[in-house]
Amino acid sequence: MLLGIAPLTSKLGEFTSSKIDPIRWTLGTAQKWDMFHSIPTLSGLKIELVATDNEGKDHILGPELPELDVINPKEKIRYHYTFLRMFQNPQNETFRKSYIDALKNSISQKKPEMVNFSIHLHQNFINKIQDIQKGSEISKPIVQKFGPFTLKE
Amino acid sequence: MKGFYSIWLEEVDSKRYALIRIGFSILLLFHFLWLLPYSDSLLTNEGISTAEMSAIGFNELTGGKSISIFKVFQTPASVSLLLLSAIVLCVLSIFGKYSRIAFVYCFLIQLSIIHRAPISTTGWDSIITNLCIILILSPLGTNWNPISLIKNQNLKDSNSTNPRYGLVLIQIQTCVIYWQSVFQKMGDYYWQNGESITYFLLSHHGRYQGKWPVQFHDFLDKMNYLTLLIELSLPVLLCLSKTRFIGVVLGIGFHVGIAILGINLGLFSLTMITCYLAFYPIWESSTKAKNTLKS
Repeated sequence: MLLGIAPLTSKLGEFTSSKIDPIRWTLGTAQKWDMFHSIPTLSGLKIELVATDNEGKDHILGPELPELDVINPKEKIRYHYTFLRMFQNPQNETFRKSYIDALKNSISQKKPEMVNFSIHLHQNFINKIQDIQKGSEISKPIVQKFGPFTLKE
Repeated sequence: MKGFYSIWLEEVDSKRYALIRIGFSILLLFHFLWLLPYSDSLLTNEGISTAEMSAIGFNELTGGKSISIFKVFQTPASVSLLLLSAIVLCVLSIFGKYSRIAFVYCFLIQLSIIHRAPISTTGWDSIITNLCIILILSPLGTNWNPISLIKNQNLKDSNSTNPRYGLVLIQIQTCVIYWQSVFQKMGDYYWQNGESITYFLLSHHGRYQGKWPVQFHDFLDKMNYLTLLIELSLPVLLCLSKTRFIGVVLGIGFHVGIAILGINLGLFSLTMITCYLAFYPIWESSTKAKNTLKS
């Protein structure tokens, strides 16, 4: 546990982390303090599933499984971390693939009329403080789209 | 050897362990209650990832081996039952019943959550897991319950004592959290430029929306550096008996402030405030000193 003291930003921290991280994570003694130093640069995050039916009409669904419920990541902070890490960190490709497969199953069962869907990540990036002081909006919306993923051949 | 004994093995009042046991049980209780709405989505095979894929993802992310209980219990009903069992054990532990079993069980559940959904973890998950390990190995003061503690009446053994190593470990853990946090922040662009608090209040963490933090940016710029100073000094203030009271008041005020201004950081603040119970009683030394002066 005490080996977690060395800051990850230092060479010693990087070295000890690479060697003992697998053991620490397995045993539950890993300590990553990035939540205490990272700067939140997003003022908001919204995740939408846009599913298209066999007549070409779009339907908005929620991303929470298993019921495809709408979520508010600001209130349920674990979802904020989950979706950002899933879609922004290439290391989490396995989780992303698994989520897309799970969505395919769930949408096929609950909305059989749908033929494909895509995932829309609405991120509000906070503008520079000086720009906000000069009158610009708090944040700039950027939408990342993943898909479309086919449900029926 | 004498120094080692006085630091780690000196006997302390079992009430001190009872207090941290009760505080930590309450923290775990809230933690698992707060997890319940996420359980179907994050911990079951009907959620965002199957147990098999999560094990692969966990290994890719950390290099570690996934040993999650949720590999065996995969349905929403069974996962909810496991979390509810943890909640019941937390309640019993508050009253000094099955506390050791409760902490072992809660540790296994907590470890399983991290292994099952590593991309969904928060910073306080790590702290809770580490505190769990420490308390599994520590005395727990189970001859005290909240009522007897308040009334200061223990019918079993009012003068019981325990070695202090568990409390010392939690104290070290608390200091590590603050110092490591400061070291990381000092290398960060936003903290170096005094912009971090303003960004924090404008972000998804901010409870009160709007441009108001920008209007107070000059003040928040100073708060940015003051925060670093507080985090740097808290371990020293807490460790020295003469300044402990100031440290506790400053630290609790700091975390209550985070909980008020941040919309989803209440559990983080509660986790840190629970750590402060390891520094109880904050007035012991000053009282002793006053008594000595009077005599």
